[in-house]
Amino acid sequence: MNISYESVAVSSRIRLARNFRDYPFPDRLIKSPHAREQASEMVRTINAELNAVEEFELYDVGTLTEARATYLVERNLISRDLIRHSAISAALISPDESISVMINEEDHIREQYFMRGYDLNKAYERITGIDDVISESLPFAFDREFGYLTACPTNLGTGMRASVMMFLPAVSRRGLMKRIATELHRLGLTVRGTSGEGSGAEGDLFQISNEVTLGLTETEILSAVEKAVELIVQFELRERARMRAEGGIQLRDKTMRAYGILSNCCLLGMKEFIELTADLKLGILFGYLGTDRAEEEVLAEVDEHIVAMRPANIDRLNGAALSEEEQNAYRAEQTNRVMRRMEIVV
Amino acid sequence: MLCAMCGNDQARVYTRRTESGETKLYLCPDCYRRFMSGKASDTKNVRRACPSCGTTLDEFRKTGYLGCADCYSAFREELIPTIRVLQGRLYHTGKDPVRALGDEQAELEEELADAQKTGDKFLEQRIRYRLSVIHRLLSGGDE
Repeated sequence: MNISYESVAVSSRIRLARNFRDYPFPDRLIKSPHAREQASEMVRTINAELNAVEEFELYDVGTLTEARATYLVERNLISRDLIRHSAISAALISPDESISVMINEEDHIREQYFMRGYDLNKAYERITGIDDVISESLPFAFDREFGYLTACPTNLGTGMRASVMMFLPAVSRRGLMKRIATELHRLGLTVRGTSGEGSGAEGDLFQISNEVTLGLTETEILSAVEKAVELIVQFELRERARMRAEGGIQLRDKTMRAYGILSNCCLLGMKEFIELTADLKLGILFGYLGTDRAEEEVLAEVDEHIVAMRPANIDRLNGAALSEEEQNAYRAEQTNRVMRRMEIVV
Repeated sequence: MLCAMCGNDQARVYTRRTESGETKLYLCPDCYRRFMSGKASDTKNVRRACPSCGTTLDEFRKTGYLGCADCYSAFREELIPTIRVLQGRLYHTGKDPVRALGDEQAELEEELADAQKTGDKFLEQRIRYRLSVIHRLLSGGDE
């Protein structure tokens, strides 16, 4: 059984929260009679500064259609909070979608870098460079004692949230997530569902991140998250070995059924799709479903396909809005194709 | 784990819901009661407003959000117990944009002296421009 480290720690994300000293925070700014002018000035300055260094596409949230905005939310490039502030908000997104800078979300600036695979230090290096560029546009709200000032004190100090998305089918299906959550809280860390705060876990994916943002350096925060991730990886791998040993024919049957349905179904709802792809990934990791390609490559393709098959992403691929049933048919057809392309050997 | 506020008694985990989401409080029952009743800080001035944006302490307690950077100065004393509870610490030790700019300024001043010695007018001009940007940022945007 060839189970790699990155089959557990799937992706890395660093987010920095920043505000400008001379403007009210977004929730207050939006109520000001000069909100639009002030927001435009902010967006214009940041856009000029960033685009002088590298290419970013500017999205004025107020002019986005609902479908386009939802498409970007589904791809984790903007948030619902940014849409809530659509009168004053914007986003700057890099062509490869690895960097997103949200303007006037909960804070004036939410900068994030996302990468497939596990490398928090690389993610931090990249986003801190972007942060340095933005810091040259307008003076940040910064206090010698409290650090970067944020709208909510839960983000005060570094304003940094370092998170790693982890695929934990064995730990979660064996009912051990509570143990991890308790341990993480003790370390100033937290575990959330796939889409961040308040969301449930989809497809056995969990986000591990720091809760404390003040009183630790960025390096200390990264190192705390890394230590936890490494322990969880070992825990998950041990539990996978147990799961495979104890699972017998029932476990094999479950993953093969998932492959069978994903390869042949005619209608596929989002919830069922997510559950089946988690079983499929497990089947690949346990060697029940073979492929000549590298395991990481196949898993990455499955994960990219999951994002592409979210409702607004389907509508965009299709070129027009579809009903829910039409989307389910589209998702089924595309998934059948992806399964064929992967040349999985049973 | 000890109470994040008094540091003496064993903490329990309390979940507090605000408009900005859920927050876990690691407090002993006594400090939790004081914190929730607002007695952990000075509650006499809850109607006092931030001179810059008008946000009141009451509004912050209700929503969990501050209105602007100056709210941190206006409500500093009242905020300290809340920050201590949320973060467990009070002093920032991470990245510092002012310090970083200060370091860059010192390096550029040395480079400027070198450029003047070698008579490289183009480099001198570039360094002077960058120094003027840093000066503007350090002085808070006032020319």
